[in-house]
Amino acid sequence: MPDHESRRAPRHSSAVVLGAIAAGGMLGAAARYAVGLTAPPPATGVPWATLGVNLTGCLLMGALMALVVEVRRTHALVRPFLGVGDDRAVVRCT
Amino acid sequence: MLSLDGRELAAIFAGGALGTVVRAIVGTVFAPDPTAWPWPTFAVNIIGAFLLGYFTTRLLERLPLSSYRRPMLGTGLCGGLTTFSTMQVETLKMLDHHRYGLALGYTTASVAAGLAAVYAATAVVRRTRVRA
Repeated sequence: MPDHESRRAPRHSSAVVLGAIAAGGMLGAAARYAVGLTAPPPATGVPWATLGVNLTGCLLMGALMALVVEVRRTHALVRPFLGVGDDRAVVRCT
Repeated sequence: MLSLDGRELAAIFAGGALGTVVRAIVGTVFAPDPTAWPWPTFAVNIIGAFLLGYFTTRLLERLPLSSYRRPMLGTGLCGGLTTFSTMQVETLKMLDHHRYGLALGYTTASVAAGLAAVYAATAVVRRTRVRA
């Protein structure tokens, strides 16, 4: 997607990008863990917490992709922080 | 009730940071191409499923109770390493490019291989004898 490449903010060093990714990973994992503590998965029946986390993650991820790729220019670290890597936005909690 | 001690939180942070950084690095191996099989995502998801099955079974059935191993290895490491939402975005992009067979095959294979990986990991752990 070359037209998206050109709209991106200046690149940061890979260490800074990895730092943003790691920070996002920490927060996502903590949030995911907190959800599990609040609503522990049942031995039988639908694990609503997991389903909710996955669907919420997909919703946020879709919103992030649309925001970063199509709507407006964002800070270069927004995507690695909220998503992973360059062209793959991923909300941490999923 | 939510109650996290410092060590538990540190374990989650460490696992989550490591898992996501590894995934990010794996993701740079191939340029994303919506018309091709997304090997990086597929690989982290299946490997992550295997590891989660391994850790979960081992922690529950083989190792003494610990308050920080599961958040570090399971929620943190495997949670950061694997991704449900990227898989869905990749599938959506395949559909945008009218690669319907690829999209169906990818989602089916991801779920099936993930299940198989968890099953295999559980079997591996249970083959080893419980230490006295």
